[in-house]
Amino acid sequence: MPRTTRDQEFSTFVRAHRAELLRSACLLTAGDSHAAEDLVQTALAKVYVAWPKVFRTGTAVPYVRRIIINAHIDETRRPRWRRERSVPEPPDRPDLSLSESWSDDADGEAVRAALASLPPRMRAVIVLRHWFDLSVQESADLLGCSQGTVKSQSAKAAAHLRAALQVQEERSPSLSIERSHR
Amino acid sequence: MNDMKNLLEKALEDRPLIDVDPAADLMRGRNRLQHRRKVTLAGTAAVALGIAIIPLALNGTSGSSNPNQAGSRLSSTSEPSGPAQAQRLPALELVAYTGKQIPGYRVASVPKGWHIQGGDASVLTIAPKGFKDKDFSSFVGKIVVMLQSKDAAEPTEGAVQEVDGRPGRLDVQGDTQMLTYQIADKRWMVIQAPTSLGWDGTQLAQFASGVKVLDNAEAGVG
Repeated sequence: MPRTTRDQEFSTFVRAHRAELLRSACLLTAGDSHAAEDLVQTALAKVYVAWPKVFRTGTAVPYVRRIIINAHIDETRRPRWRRERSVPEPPDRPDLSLSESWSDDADGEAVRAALASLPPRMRAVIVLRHWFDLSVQESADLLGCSQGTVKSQSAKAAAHLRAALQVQEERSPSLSIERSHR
Repeated sequence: MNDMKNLLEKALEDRPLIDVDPAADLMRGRNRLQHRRKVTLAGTAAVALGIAIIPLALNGTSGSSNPNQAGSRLSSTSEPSGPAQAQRLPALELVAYTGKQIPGYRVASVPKGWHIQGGDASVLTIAPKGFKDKDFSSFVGKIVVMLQSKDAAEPTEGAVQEVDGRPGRLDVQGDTQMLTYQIADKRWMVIQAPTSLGWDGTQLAQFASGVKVLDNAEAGVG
Protein backbone atom coordinates (compact mmCIF):
# COMPACT_ATOMS: atom_id res chain seq x y z
CA MET A 1 0.00 0.00 0.00
CA PRO A 2 1.52 3.36 -0.93
CA ARG A 3 2.30 5.46 2.11
CA THR A 4 0.23 8.37 0.93
CA THR A 5 -2.90 6.24 0.85
CA ARG A 6 -2.15 4.91 4.31
CA ASP A 7 -1.60 8.45 5.59
CA GLN A 8 -4.86 9.73 4.15
CA GLU A 9 -6.93 6.86 5.50
CA PHE A 10 -5.26 7.02 8.88
CA SER A 11 -5.79 10.79 9.13
CA THR A 12 -9.47 10.38 8.33
CA PHE A 13 -9.72 7.72 11.01
CA VAL A 14 -8.01 9.91 13.60
CA ARG A 15 -10.27 12.87 12.85
CA ALA A 16 -13.34 10.68 13.21
CA HIS A 17 -12.43 8.70 16.32
CA ARG A 18 -9.65 10.32 18.33
CA ALA A 19 -11.78 12.50 20.55
CA GLU A 20 -14.04 9.64 21.53
CA LEU A 21 -11.06 7.35 22.10
CA LEU A 22 -9.57 9.95 24.41
CA ARG A 23 -12.77 10.16 26.41
CA SER A 24 -12.83 6.39 26.76
CA ALA A 25 -9.22 6.42 27.88
CA CYS A 26 -10.09 9.11 30.43
CA LEU A 27 -12.61 6.73 31.96
CA LEU A 28 -10.00 3.99 32.14
CA THR A 29 -7.53 6.31 33.84
CA ALA A 30 -10.24 7.71 36.11
CA GLY A 31 -9.79 11.23 34.78
CA ASP A 32 -6.00 11.31 34.44
CA SER A 33 -5.92 13.15 31.12
CA HIS A 34 -2.15 12.84 30.70
CA ALA A 35 -2.22 9.08 31.13
CA ALA A 36 -5.23 8.91 28.81
CA GLU A 37 -3.39 10.90 26.15
CA ASP A 38 -0.43 8.52 26.46
CA LEU A 39 -2.71 5.54 25.96
CA VAL A 40 -4.34 7.02 22.88
CA GLN A 41 -1.05 8.14 21.33
CA THR A 42 0.47 4.71 21.80
CA ALA A 43 -2.60 2.96 20.45
CA LEU A 44 -2.86 5.17 17.36
CA ALA A 45 0.82 4.73 16.55
CA LYS A 46 0.35 0.97 16.69
CA VAL A 47 -2.72 1.21 14.51
CA TYR A 48 -0.74 3.14 11.92
CA VAL A 49 1.81 0.33 11.74
CA ALA A 50 -0.90 -2.28 11.29
CA TRP A 51 -3.04 -0.05 9.10
CA PRO A 52 -3.11 -2.08 5.84
CA LYS A 53 -4.45 -5.09 7.73
CA VAL A 54 -6.91 -3.36 10.04
CA PHE A 55 -8.24 -1.14 7.26
CA ARG A 56 -8.72 -4.06 4.89
CA THR A 57 -10.61 -6.03 7.52
CA GLY A 58 -12.54 -3.03 8.82
CA THR A 59 -11.37 -3.64 12.37
CA ALA A 60 -9.58 -0.41 13.14
CA VAL A 61 -11.91 0.70 15.94
CA PRO A 62 -11.99 -2.66 17.79
CA TYR A 63 -8.24 -2.94 17.27
CA VAL A 64 -7.46 0.42 18.80
CA ARG A 65 -9.85 -0.19 21.67
CA ARG A 66 -8.14 -3.47 22.40
CA ILE A 67 -4.74 -1.78 22.42
CA ILE A 68 -5.94 0.92 24.78
CA ILE A 69 -7.48 -1.58 27.20
CA ASN A 70 -4.41 -3.83 27.17
CA ALA A 71 -2.03 -0.90 27.50
CA HIS A 72 -4.05 0.41 30.43
CA ILE A 73 -3.92 -2.94 32.24
CA ASP A 74 -0.24 -3.45 31.40
CA GLU A 75 0.63 0.01 32.62
CA THR A 76 -0.94 -0.60 35.99
CA ARG A 77 1.00 -3.85 36.37
CA ARG A 78 4.26 -1.94 36.46
CA PRO A 79 6.08 -1.80 39.79
CA ARG A 80 5.44 1.89 40.38
CA TRP A 81 1.74 1.16 40.44
CA ARG A 82 2.17 -1.70 42.88
CA ARG A 83 4.01 0.33 45.44
CA GLU A 84 2.09 1.50 48.46
CA ARG A 85 1.13 5.13 48.47
CA SER A 86 0.99 7.47 51.42
CA VAL A 87 -2.35 9.11 52.14
CA PRO A 88 -3.31 11.57 54.90
CA GLU A 89 -5.79 9.18 56.43
CA PRO A 90 -6.83 5.59 55.69
CA PRO A 91 -9.79 5.34 53.32
CA ASP A 92 -13.13 4.13 54.61
CA ARG A 93 -14.13 0.69 53.47
CA PRO A 94 -17.35 1.10 51.49
CA ASP A 95 -20.22 -1.22 52.21
CA LEU A 96 -20.56 -3.22 49.02
CA SER A 97 -24.01 -4.43 49.95
CA LEU A 98 -25.55 -1.04 49.19
CA SER A 99 -27.76 -1.19 46.15
CA GLU A 100 -29.42 2.20 45.83
CA SER A 101 -29.51 3.88 42.49
CA TRP A 102 -26.87 6.43 41.52
CA SER A 103 -26.91 9.70 43.36
CA ASP A 104 -28.01 12.54 41.15
CA ASP A 105 -25.80 14.87 43.17
CA ALA A 106 -22.61 13.12 42.12
CA ASP A 107 -20.52 15.49 40.06
CA GLY A 108 -17.76 14.65 37.60
CA GLU A 109 -15.02 14.91 40.18
CA ALA A 110 -16.83 12.56 42.53
CA VAL A 111 -17.44 10.00 39.79
CA ARG A 112 -13.81 10.11 38.70
CA ALA A 113 -12.72 9.60 42.29
CA ALA A 114 -15.07 6.65 42.58
CA LEU A 115 -13.69 5.19 39.34
CA ALA A 116 -10.17 5.65 40.66
CA SER A 117 -11.03 3.51 43.66
CA LEU A 118 -11.70 0.54 41.36
CA PRO A 119 -8.92 -1.88 40.40
CA PRO A 120 -7.80 -1.21 36.79
CA ARG A 121 -9.19 -4.44 35.42
CA MET A 122 -12.55 -3.85 37.02
CA ARG A 123 -12.59 -0.35 35.53
CA ALA A 124 -11.86 -1.89 32.16
CA VAL A 125 -14.86 -4.19 32.51
CA ILE A 126 -17.09 -1.21 33.27
CA VAL A 127 -15.84 0.66 30.21
CA LEU A 128 -16.18 -2.32 27.92
CA ARG A 129 -19.67 -3.26 29.05
CA HIS A 130 -21.24 0.14 29.66
CA TRP A 131 -19.28 2.62 27.57
CA PHE A 132 -18.41 0.55 24.51
CA ASP A 133 -21.64 -1.45 24.90
CA LEU A 134 -19.83 -4.72 24.25
CA SER A 135 -21.51 -7.99 25.13
CA VAL A 136 -20.26 -10.19 27.96
CA GLN A 137 -18.75 -12.55 25.38
CA GLU A 138 -17.00 -9.73 23.51
CA SER A 139 -15.66 -8.27 26.74
CA ALA A 140 -14.41 -11.64 27.90
CA ASP A 141 -12.66 -12.22 24.57
CA LEU A 142 -10.98 -8.86 24.72
CA LEU A 143 -9.82 -9.28 28.30
CA GLY A 144 -8.86 -12.92 27.85
CA CYS A 145 -11.03 -14.18 30.68
CA SER A 146 -14.24 -16.13 31.14
CA GLN A 147 -17.74 -14.71 30.74
CA GLY A 148 -18.37 -15.48 34.39
CA THR A 149 -15.43 -13.32 35.38
CA VAL A 150 -16.77 -10.43 33.34
CA LYS A 151 -20.20 -10.75 34.95
CA SER A 152 -18.87 -10.93 38.48
CA GLN A 153 -16.37 -8.10 37.95
CA SER A 154 -19.09 -5.93 36.42
CA ALA A 155 -21.43 -6.54 39.35
CA LYS A 156 -18.72 -5.90 41.92
CA ALA A 157 -17.65 -2.73 40.15
CA ALA A 158 -21.19 -1.40 40.09
CA ALA A 159 -21.65 -2.10 43.79
CA HIS A 160 -18.29 -0.56 44.59
CA LEU A 161 -19.09 2.60 42.64
CA ARG A 162 -22.42 3.03 44.37
CA ALA A 163 -20.83 2.63 47.76
CA ALA A 164 -17.91 4.92 46.96
CA LEU A 165 -20.22 7.67 45.76
CA GLN A 166 -22.38 7.38 48.85
CA VAL A 167 -19.33 7.61 51.10
CA GLN A 168 -18.18 10.73 49.29
CA GLU A 169 -21.59 12.32 49.67
CA GLU A 170 -21.65 11.59 53.37
CA ARG A 171 -18.15 13.01 53.76
CA SER A 172 -18.95 16.36 52.19
CA PRO A 173 -22.49 17.33 53.25
CA SER A 174 -21.46 20.96 53.13
CA LEU A 175 -21.10 20.65 49.39
CA SER A 176 -24.65 19.38 49.07
CA ILE A 177 -25.91 22.21 51.24
CA GLU A 178 -24.02 24.77 49.25
CA ARG A 179 -25.45 23.36 46.05
CA SER A 180 -28.98 23.48 47.43
CA HIS A 181 -28.65 27.17 48.28
CA ARG A 182 -27.40 28.20 44.85
CA MET B 1 -31.59 4.23 29.84
CA ASN B 2 -28.32 2.88 31.07
CA ASP B 3 -27.69 4.35 34.57
CA MET B 4 -24.06 3.35 34.49
CA LYS B 5 -23.55 5.07 31.16
CA ASN B 6 -25.09 8.25 32.54
CA LEU B 7 -22.73 8.07 35.46
CA LEU B 8 -19.74 7.64 33.16
CA GLU B 9 -20.95 10.61 31.14
CA LYS B 10 -20.76 12.68 34.32
CA ALA B 11 -17.11 11.75 34.68
CA LEU B 12 -16.53 13.26 31.25
CA GLU B 13 -18.78 16.29 31.53
CA ASP B 14 -15.83 18.69 31.48
CA ARG B 15 -14.12 16.81 28.64
CA PRO B 16 -16.16 17.65 25.57
CA LEU B 17 -15.52 16.26 22.12
CA ILE B 18 -13.22 18.57 20.22
CA ASP B 19 -11.85 18.70 16.70
CA VAL B 20 -8.46 17.09 16.35
CA ASP B 21 -5.51 17.56 14.05
CA PRO B 22 -4.13 14.16 13.05
CA ALA B 23 -0.68 15.50 12.13
CA ALA B 24 1.02 14.57 15.40
CA ASP B 25 -0.48 11.08 15.45
CA LEU B 26 0.53 10.62 11.84
CA MET B 27 4.11 11.55 12.65
CA ARG B 28 4.23 9.23 15.63
CA GLY B 29 2.83 6.40 13.52
CA ARG B 30 5.42 6.94 10.80
CA ASN B 31 8.22 7.01 13.33
CA ARG B 32 7.01 3.83 14.94
CA LEU B 33 6.75 2.11 11.58
CA GLN B 34 10.28 3.10 10.64
CA HIS B 35 11.63 2.08 14.02
CA ARG B 36 9.85 -1.26 13.88
CA ARG B 37 11.22 -2.04 10.46
CA LYS B 38 14.75 -1.26 11.55
CA VAL B 39 14.66 -3.09 14.85
CA THR B 40 12.86 -6.24 13.79
CA LEU B 41 15.06 -6.64 10.77
CA ALA B 42 17.78 -8.07 12.94
CA GLY B 43 15.70 -10.79 14.58
CA THR B 44 14.37 -12.53 11.53
CA ALA B 45 17.63 -12.10 9.68
CA ALA B 46 19.34 -13.97 12.46
CA VAL B 47 16.73 -16.74 12.32
CA ALA B 48 16.97 -17.00 8.54
CA LEU B 49 20.72 -17.12 8.75
CA GLY B 50 20.57 -19.70 11.52
CA ILE B 51 18.55 -21.97 9.26
CA ALA B 52 21.22 -21.62 6.63
CA ILE B 53 24.02 -22.26 9.12
CA ILE B 54 22.79 -25.66 10.33
CA PRO B 55 23.31 -27.67 7.11
CA LEU B 56 26.45 -25.70 6.41
CA ALA B 57 27.88 -26.55 9.81
CA LEU B 58 26.87 -30.19 9.39
CA ASN B 59 28.72 -30.33 6.09
CA GLY B 60 31.76 -28.82 7.70
CA THR B 61 31.90 -31.18 10.66
CA SER B 62 31.01 -34.40 8.80
CA GLY B 63 33.38 -33.77 5.97
CA SER B 64 30.60 -34.09 3.42
CA SER B 65 31.66 -33.11 -0.07
CA ASN B 66 28.16 -32.52 -1.46
CA PRO B 67 28.29 -29.00 -2.93
CA ASN B 68 24.64 -28.92 -3.92
CA GLN B 69 23.22 -28.58 -0.43
CA ALA B 70 22.92 -25.43 1.59
CA GLY B 71 26.49 -24.56 0.87
CA SER B 72 25.42 -23.68 -2.63
CA ARG B 73 23.38 -20.77 -1.25
CA LEU B 74 26.40 -19.37 0.43
CA SER B 75 29.36 -18.87 -1.80
CA SER B 76 32.74 -20.15 -0.77
CA THR B 77 35.09 -17.28 -0.37
CA SER B 78 38.45 -16.81 1.22
CA GLU B 79 36.89 -16.93 4.68
CA PRO B 80 38.60 -19.44 6.96
CA SER B 81 36.83 -22.73 7.59
CA GLY B 82 36.38 -24.50 10.91
CA PRO B 83 35.09 -23.03 14.16
CA ALA B 84 35.70 -19.46 13.04
CA GLN B 85 33.16 -19.96 10.26
CA ALA B 86 30.30 -20.08 12.75
CA GLN B 87 31.26 -16.65 14.00
CA ARG B 88 31.68 -15.00 10.63
CA LEU B 89 29.96 -16.50 7.64
CA PRO B 90 31.18 -16.02 4.11
CA ALA B 91 29.45 -13.22 2.30
CA LEU B 92 26.61 -14.06 -0.02
CA GLU B 93 27.75 -13.91 -3.62
CA LEU B 94 26.07 -11.50 -6.02
CA VAL B 95 24.65 -13.10 -9.16
CA ALA B 96 22.92 -11.59 -12.18
CA TYR B 97 19.17 -11.29 -11.74
CA THR B 98 17.02 -12.43 -14.65
CA GLY B 99 13.65 -12.76 -12.95
CA LYS B 100 10.62 -10.50 -12.88
CA GLN B 101 11.25 -6.84 -12.14
CA ILE B 102 9.02 -4.41 -10.23
CA PRO B 103 7.77 -1.01 -11.47
CA GLY B 104 9.92 1.72 -10.00
CA TYR B 105 13.31 0.02 -9.98
CA ARG B 106 15.53 -2.30 -12.01
CA VAL B 107 17.87 -4.62 -10.18
CA ALA B 108 20.88 -6.05 -12.03
CA SER B 109 22.06 -8.51 -9.39
CA VAL B 110 20.90 -10.19 -6.20
CA PRO B 111 22.54 -12.42 -3.60
CA LYS B 112 22.74 -16.00 -4.82
CA GLY B 113 19.55 -17.85 -3.89
CA TRP B 114 17.58 -14.62 -3.42
CA HIS B 115 14.97 -12.99 -5.64
CA ILE B 116 12.80 -9.91 -5.84
CA GLN B 117 9.95 -10.67 -3.51
CA GLY B 118 7.75 -7.74 -4.41
CA GLY B 119 7.34 -4.01 -4.25
CA ASP B 120 5.67 -1.00 -5.72
CA ALA B 121 6.67 2.43 -6.92
CA SER B 122 8.09 3.36 -3.54
CA VAL B 123 9.84 0.25 -2.27
CA LEU B 124 11.27 -3.04 -3.47
CA THR B 125 12.27 -5.98 -1.28
CA ILE B 126 14.63 -8.85 -2.05
CA ALA B 127 14.47 -12.00 0.04
CA PRO B 128 15.76 -15.58 0.01
CA LYS B 129 13.69 -17.85 -2.25
CA GLY B 130 10.99 -19.57 -0.19
CA PHE B 131 11.20 -16.98 2.57
CA LYS B 132 8.27 -17.40 4.93
CA ASP B 133 7.35 -13.73 5.19
CA LYS B 134 5.84 -12.94 1.79
CA ASP B 135 4.74 -9.40 2.59
CA PHE B 136 6.95 -7.05 0.63
CA SER B 137 6.16 -4.19 2.99
CA SER B 138 7.73 -6.19 5.79
CA PHE B 139 11.49 -5.66 5.71
CA VAL B 140 12.70 -8.11 8.30
CA GLY B 141 15.55 -10.27 7.01
CA LYS B 142 15.43 -8.72 3.54
CA ILE B 143 17.24 -6.26 1.34
CA VAL B 144 15.18 -3.12 0.90
CA VAL B 145 15.53 -0.68 -1.98
CA MET B 146 13.80 2.69 -1.82
CA LEU B 147 14.18 6.36 -2.50
CA GLN B 148 14.96 8.34 0.59
CA SER B 149 11.96 9.96 2.23
CA LYS B 150 11.11 13.44 0.97
CA ASP B 151 11.27 14.67 4.55
CA ALA B 152 14.67 13.19 5.33
CA ALA B 153 17.82 15.27 5.37
CA GLU B 154 21.12 14.56 3.69
CA PRO B 155 22.84 11.72 5.57
CA THR B 156 25.62 12.70 7.94
CA GLU B 157 25.87 9.57 10.07
CA GLY B 158 28.08 6.60 9.30
CA ALA B 159 31.17 5.98 7.25
CA VAL B 160 31.72 7.54 3.85
CA GLN B 161 30.87 5.01 1.13
CA GLU B 162 30.71 6.09 -2.48
CA VAL B 163 28.61 4.31 -5.09
CA ASP B 164 30.04 4.65 -8.60
CA GLY B 165 31.75 7.86 -7.52
CA ARG B 166 28.59 9.34 -6.04
CA PRO B 167 28.67 10.43 -2.38
CA GLY B 168 27.13 8.14 0.17
CA ARG B 169 27.16 7.02 3.77
CA LEU B 170 27.04 3.56 5.30
CA ASP B 171 25.32 3.59 8.68
CA VAL B 172 25.43 0.37 10.69
CA GLN B 173 23.10 0.10 13.66
CA GLY B 174 23.00 -3.24 15.41
CA ASP B 175 22.33 -5.91 12.84
CA THR B 176 21.13 -3.52 10.18
CA GLN B 177 23.20 -1.57 7.71
CA MET B 178 21.85 1.24 5.60
CA LEU B 179 23.63 2.66 2.60
CA THR B 180 22.34 6.08 1.56
CA TYR B 181 23.82 7.53 -1.61
CA GLN B 182 23.06 10.41 -3.91
CA ILE B 183 21.55 9.76 -7.33
CA ALA B 184 20.69 13.35 -8.29
CA ASP B 185 20.51 16.81 -6.80
CA LYS B 186 18.57 16.51 -3.52
CA ARG B 187 17.68 12.93 -4.42
CA TRP B 188 19.08 10.07 -2.40
CA MET B 189 18.71 6.34 -2.56
CA VAL B 190 18.54 3.97 0.40
CA ILE B 191 19.62 0.35 0.44
CA GLN B 192 18.94 -1.43 3.71
CA ALA B 193 20.36 -4.89 4.35
CA PRO B 194 20.95 -7.20 7.31
CA THR B 195 24.57 -7.38 8.42
CA SER B 196 24.14 -11.15 8.45
CA LEU B 197 24.60 -11.02 4.68
CA GLY B 198 28.26 -10.63 5.46
CA TRP B 199 28.60 -7.68 3.10
CA ASP B 200 30.94 -4.82 3.76
CA GLY B 201 30.42 -1.32 2.38
CA THR B 202 32.11 -2.14 -0.92
CA GLN B 203 29.90 -5.15 -1.58
CA LEU B 204 26.79 -3.20 -0.66
CA ALA B 205 27.91 -0.44 -3.02
CA GLN B 206 28.48 -3.06 -5.72
CA PHE B 207 24.88 -4.20 -5.32
CA ALA B 208 23.69 -0.58 -5.27
CA SER B 209 25.47 0.21 -8.50
CA GLY B 210 23.25 -2.37 -10.21
CA VAL B 211 20.05 -0.68 -9.03
CA LYS B 212 18.40 1.66 -11.51
CA VAL B 213 15.70 4.08 -10.44
CA LEU B 214 12.94 4.42 -13.03
CA ASP B 215 10.89 7.52 -13.70
CA ASN B 216 7.83 6.22 -11.91
CA ALA B 217 9.66 5.57 -8.64
CA GLU B 218 8.20 7.51 -5.74
CA ALA B 219 9.81 8.72 -2.55
CA GLY B 220 7.87 8.18 0.66
CA VAL B 221 7.27 10.77 3.32
CA GLY B 222 7.98 10.83 7.00
